[in-house]
Amino acid sequence: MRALRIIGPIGYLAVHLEILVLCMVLLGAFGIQFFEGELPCPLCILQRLGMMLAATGAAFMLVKWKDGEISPRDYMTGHGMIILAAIGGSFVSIRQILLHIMPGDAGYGDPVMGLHLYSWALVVFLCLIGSSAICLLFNTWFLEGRARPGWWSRAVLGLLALLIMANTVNIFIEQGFHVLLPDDPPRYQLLYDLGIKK
Amino acid sequence: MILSLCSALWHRHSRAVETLSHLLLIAAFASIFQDRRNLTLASFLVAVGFTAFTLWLHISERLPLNF
Repeated sequence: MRALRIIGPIGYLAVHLEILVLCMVLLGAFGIQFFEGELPCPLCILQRLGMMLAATGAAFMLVKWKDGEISPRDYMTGHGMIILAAIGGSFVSIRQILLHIMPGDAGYGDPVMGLHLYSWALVVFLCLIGSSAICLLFNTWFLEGRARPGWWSRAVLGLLALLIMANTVNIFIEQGFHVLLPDDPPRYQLLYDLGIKK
Repeated sequence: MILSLCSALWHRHSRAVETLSHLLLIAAFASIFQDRRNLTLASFLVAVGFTAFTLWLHISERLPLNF
């Protein structure tokens, strides 16, 4: 409750949390990529993209809230952006789940806590749609009070910007100067193109 | 660059659409710091639309996945 008094309305806190949760998921995906050596496939990359687009919707609200208040129009627009991106991302996850749904198929990559990453991604997208629906349903309660933007808002936006840049650099390094990104990428192609690795 | 991407897509050999999707995402993210709501909405919808288009390329097997 003290955090609410410091930061402001519940809706404002929820937007921070949404971006932070998405950043944690993206950082987890990077962790698995770098520590377990699992390079993301084209569909994994599209799911990351869906999460970053959803986080962009939340970031839109955060930016619009800078003067302590947000107009209902901007609040609804932000949540509309989140829902649209989450629907797009969930279609990608469903597509990848269906590719591996046959009995005996081991799936792509190693499971984490019993589920593959694309199954977790579907859970994340459905939670995003649900949380946005709740924020819109109880909007008068969620917008009550005056927000106090501070370093925490800038830090959250900075972290998201950093992850968007990191993902863009990642796809470029993975793809190299080639137009083709393999289904199951075996290596960081750019490093081989530049002769850094042989 | 865009022309070469279009050409590669037309000939069904390219997966460079993922890189282009990320560039569109950066444009959408950068636009939220501008005080131009329509620009934000337009760039966001283009980014989401292009992502959906990329998914369609996969589903329709124009970019087949051989897992």
